[in-house]
Amino acid sequence: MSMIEVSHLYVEINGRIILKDINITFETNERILILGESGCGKSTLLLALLGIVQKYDNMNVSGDVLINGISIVDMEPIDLVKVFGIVFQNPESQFCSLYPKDEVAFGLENQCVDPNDMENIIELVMKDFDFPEEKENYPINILSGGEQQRLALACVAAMGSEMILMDEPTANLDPEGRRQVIVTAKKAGLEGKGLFVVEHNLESWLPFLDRLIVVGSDGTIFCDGNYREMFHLHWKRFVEKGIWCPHTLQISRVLEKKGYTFYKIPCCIQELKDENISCSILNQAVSEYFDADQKEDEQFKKAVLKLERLTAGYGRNHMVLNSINLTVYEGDFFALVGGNGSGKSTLSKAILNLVPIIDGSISILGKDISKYKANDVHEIIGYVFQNPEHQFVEDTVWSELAYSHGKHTMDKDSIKNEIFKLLKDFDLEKHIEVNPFNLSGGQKRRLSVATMLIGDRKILILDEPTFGQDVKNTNKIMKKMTRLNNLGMTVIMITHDLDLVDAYANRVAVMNGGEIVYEGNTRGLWNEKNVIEKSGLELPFRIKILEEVGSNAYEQLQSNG
Amino acid sequence: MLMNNFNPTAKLIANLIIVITSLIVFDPHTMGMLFVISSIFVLVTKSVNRKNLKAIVPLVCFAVGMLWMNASLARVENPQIIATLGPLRFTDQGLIIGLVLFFRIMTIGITSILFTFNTEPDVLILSLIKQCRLNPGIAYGMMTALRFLPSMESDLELMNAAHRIRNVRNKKWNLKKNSWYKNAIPLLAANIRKAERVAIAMEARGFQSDMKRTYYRTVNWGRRDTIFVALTVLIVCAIVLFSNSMGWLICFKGWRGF
Repeated sequence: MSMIEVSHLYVEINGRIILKDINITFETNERILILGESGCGKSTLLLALLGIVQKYDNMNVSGDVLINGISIVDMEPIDLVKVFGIVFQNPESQFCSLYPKDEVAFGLENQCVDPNDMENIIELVMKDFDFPEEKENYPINILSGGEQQRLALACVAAMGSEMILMDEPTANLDPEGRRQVIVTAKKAGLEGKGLFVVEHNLESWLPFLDRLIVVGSDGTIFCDGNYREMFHLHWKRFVEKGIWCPHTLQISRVLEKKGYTFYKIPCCIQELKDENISCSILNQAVSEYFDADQKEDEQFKKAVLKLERLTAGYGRNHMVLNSINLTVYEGDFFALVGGNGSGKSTLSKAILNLVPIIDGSISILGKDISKYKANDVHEIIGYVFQNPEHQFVEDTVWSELAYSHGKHTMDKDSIKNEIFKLLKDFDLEKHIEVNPFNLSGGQKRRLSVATMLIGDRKILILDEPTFGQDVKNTNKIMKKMTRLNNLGMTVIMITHDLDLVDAYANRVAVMNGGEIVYEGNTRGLWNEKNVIEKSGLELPFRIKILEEVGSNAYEQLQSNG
Repeated sequence: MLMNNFNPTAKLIANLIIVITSLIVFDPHTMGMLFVISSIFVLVTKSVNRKNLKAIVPLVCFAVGMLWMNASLARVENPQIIATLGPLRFTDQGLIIGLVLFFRIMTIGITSILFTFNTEPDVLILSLIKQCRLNPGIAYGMMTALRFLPSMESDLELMNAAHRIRNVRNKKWNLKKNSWYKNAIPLLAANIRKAERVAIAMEARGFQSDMKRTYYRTVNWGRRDTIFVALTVLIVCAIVLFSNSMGWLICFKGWRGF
């Protein structure tokens, strides 16, 4: 165990102050959660602990990080590894070998471990960290995100680091992968490894963490202490600033307003369950918190998209979709959900004529897809890609939107007006002359949606619209979508986040292994527990809390709703 | 005897010997013998399969193209016309030059394809670190680049699809493919960021490019690798000496093709 002391740490990158006067002291067996607004320097703090920020030329660093009284700048990287190991957010871009075992060995090689001992160490950590044995010889590239993150954890453990730093380790994973990583991280924590976690998926992490450090938007420490106390004292400020707070805590606040007194502030579902709250109050509080006015299904709507026995894929031996039947009605906010590799992206591409159709049919607005001319389909259906950068073709935000316009439809003034209106709508009017690549993550996402709204498209497909976005941006984007939907646009959202589905979609289809396993209205899905489980998804929080805390409350809600 | 079992560095040396020799030699007899020996080697090691045959096809087309073009178009002194086809006149001297080039392309082609198809990239890199004292910083850089290739390919595919959807309203007169730099910028941006992240991850695990480190998997240089390289040298020397004694040998003096 080592004593870490961060004193007056100050980091400036290209003239922008990222961290300011950071003072923290902790021991390497502590389990710490770091929160903060997006872009407030949490990742920079982790890199500063590793002594990496200090080495870069474009960064101005002052202050010090001391390990047992020795400055990390004076330490050999190889000794530092014994104290800190890190797991990054993006599973793919933290490996440098082609195969899992070589990757674990990489750290050991750096430590000059005798090659004869390596085999034993590797076997041991891979088993300890639940890396599937049958995949030991697979190339790293084809492993799932959850497997890659567990491999990264195993790599850190192999080197014998006392504390594991984690930079949003589950942000890029589907619910199944997330579950796997959390279980493994928890195990490491219980075995005595220290944890230093940046994460916003709080409910599952909090039960095995102790301390909370919040970094403010100005780069200073906003608060530091026991997480229960911190959430109790500051939760209002957190919500204002768009820092993630556990839903349980926020619901307990609503309950308090209704006159319920808590002796212990609940931070996860189990703790709320222990309170024995009466169902009717809980029911009220939950529907108040989630603002759950579900959209009603209107009968006899027109089908805008109809797939019949659709089989498609990349060649006879690589069929991804198997006999898909699916109908999307006009004005739907439709969610297409499934775990990674379930075929949901392929399905959306088949609708856009980007994947060869082997059998079955797709009809769009009542007309078969084969009867459309090459590009006409794209004029009816817009598609917002997961990575906004893939869609950008021009050098400024303005010309990016003008590009979508083409040159022949309207006179110049009305084009200008339309573009201005969109820019204003999407909070981009200040960035007209900026290169799309220089925008922030949220702005990029908004621009990519805006480019698809020019013209009169009837259907908009969004691939993981909230991927990599913080609370504020998530809400912003989803509000826009709801408004568009209310104006008559049919929205199809591809996601694995059932909380989003619960909050916004009126109809949903679940995909698993290239087949549709559920299609119907959103509320009906919450009764199909085994479908959700089999597809590697996770019940939305609202339903979970109602079910687990008061099973009666859930039934009441249903009969009311 | 499988090519896979040899040390990659040995294969690389053998390959280089043949390539350099074929570049120096410029007479059909020696070149032909080099080609025949290489082909025999390919057959003996059973290294041909459908996959690398496919890679050889375009090479054969190129080589045959060189053959007839030189035979008909090479600028040579005192040509003897041996055949005509329409306006084309095939000359004996030209045919000889064409044959040399044909054999040269085929020899270099098949030995190189043989090498690349029978060598695991990670084993090659490990072997280069050990046998050629390659800096591990460069070696791991190459390895990571290899890992990036498949994702670059799928990114490019996605980008083309995305641009096609964007392109809708610019009707036909503007439906040209995106210029290469329009594709290159996002790819470059994504990959530079990725490379930086990998570099940080490696550093976080105690890696320095000029460090002392051990290796989990090692690729050894066995006796048969020495024999393999020695035999290659012997055979090539024997061919060159034999054709020299027969008076066939001509070394490359300058471009004499068309």
